[in-house]
Amino acid sequence: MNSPSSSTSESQDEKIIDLFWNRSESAISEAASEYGRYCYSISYHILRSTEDAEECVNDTWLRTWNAIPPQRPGKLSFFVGRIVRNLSLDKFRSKKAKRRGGEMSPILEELSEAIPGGPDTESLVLDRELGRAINDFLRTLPENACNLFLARYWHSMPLTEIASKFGVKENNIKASLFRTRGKLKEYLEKEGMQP
Amino acid sequence: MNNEERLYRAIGEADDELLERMEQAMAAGKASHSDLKKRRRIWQASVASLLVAAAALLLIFNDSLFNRDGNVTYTASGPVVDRAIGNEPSSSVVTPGNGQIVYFDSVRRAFETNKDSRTKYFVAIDLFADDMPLNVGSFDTHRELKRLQELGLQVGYAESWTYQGEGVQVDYLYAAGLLTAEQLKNFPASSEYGYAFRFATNADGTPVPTENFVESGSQTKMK
Repeated sequence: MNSPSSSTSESQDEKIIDLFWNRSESAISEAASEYGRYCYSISYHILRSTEDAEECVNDTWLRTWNAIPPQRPGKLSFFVGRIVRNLSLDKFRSKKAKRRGGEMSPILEELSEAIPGGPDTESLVLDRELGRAINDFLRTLPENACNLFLARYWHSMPLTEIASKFGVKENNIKASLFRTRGKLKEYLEKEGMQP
Repeated sequence: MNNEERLYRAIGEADDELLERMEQAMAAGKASHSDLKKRRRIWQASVASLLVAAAALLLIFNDSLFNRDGNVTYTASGPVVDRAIGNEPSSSVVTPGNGQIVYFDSVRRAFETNKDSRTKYFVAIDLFADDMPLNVGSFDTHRELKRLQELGLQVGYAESWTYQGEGVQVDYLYAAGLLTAEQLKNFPASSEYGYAFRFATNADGTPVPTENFVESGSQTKMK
């Protein structure tokens, strides 16, 4: 599930962002044509429902319309990817999508291992501070480990798909993710991000 | 929102640069996987052929290459072992998993039989991650060598040469260390990497001289 970034030139991104910026209605159809499948893939991994994923993707264009301007994203794929990811998480929570299976339940369960003080802890820290700490932490990781972590917890990819995309054995991916979650927990503790 | 969900949302704020790198790796994944398999086979084949060449040379020049009382080359700072004695069984060429260390038999024999604790061993360090060899010019290799240097180990890069095309000699760098037996035995392996220690040789089987070792600041020398 690569973003179309490899095939989409930066100028194409610029063109679409300009359309949003100039309030041109074709902005949405252009963005949907370029990044629709990408966003659907992210959402479907989380929700495991065609209907819900399509709804989230449609909402993504509206959110993007409202966000640009004033914002001017660097990479449009990651910008819309973040929006669809958050919308899908909200839908997951509201619809208890875990009953349908999908990647979200195991992913959240795995992430509970990285939380200092355990999963029942009240509010971890201010979200912005946490986002900064995560970025700092990711930069301490070896490149391979960081890539696998993001494939799993940013893209919400199933392990089998990660194995196929990266050409790495599933067991090695599990081991790498396990180590990285442990390191993340230590890092968050060290950064004082525990209640 | 519970903490897992909050953490998941925070991961969504990962920098574009990291995401870009991940997607590039993913796009190149299958190709690089077969490349890595190929590199691994090439690594094993190269090591095996170098060992055969070294063994042949040793058989021919045994007397002139080594002191009669041991395989030690002396430098101003102390004795250094930089080469293998005898043949290397091919079974010793295994890929170390993460956190594992593999000593080629020649290296193990050298540091187990030499009782002089001052002796240093000039070894090539082949680094692996998830059973796959790391490129010597990679960020991971550089960072791991830096970590080891910070632990007080004399590690860095060394220069060897190989043949390319019609007998043209081409220099290349590899990760190397000048380590004592104690440091080799108690090597501080990271759980992220596997390590294989061997004596490096040039393409003609001659050992790489210790003068070709650069402990630090070697990035400027990277090609």
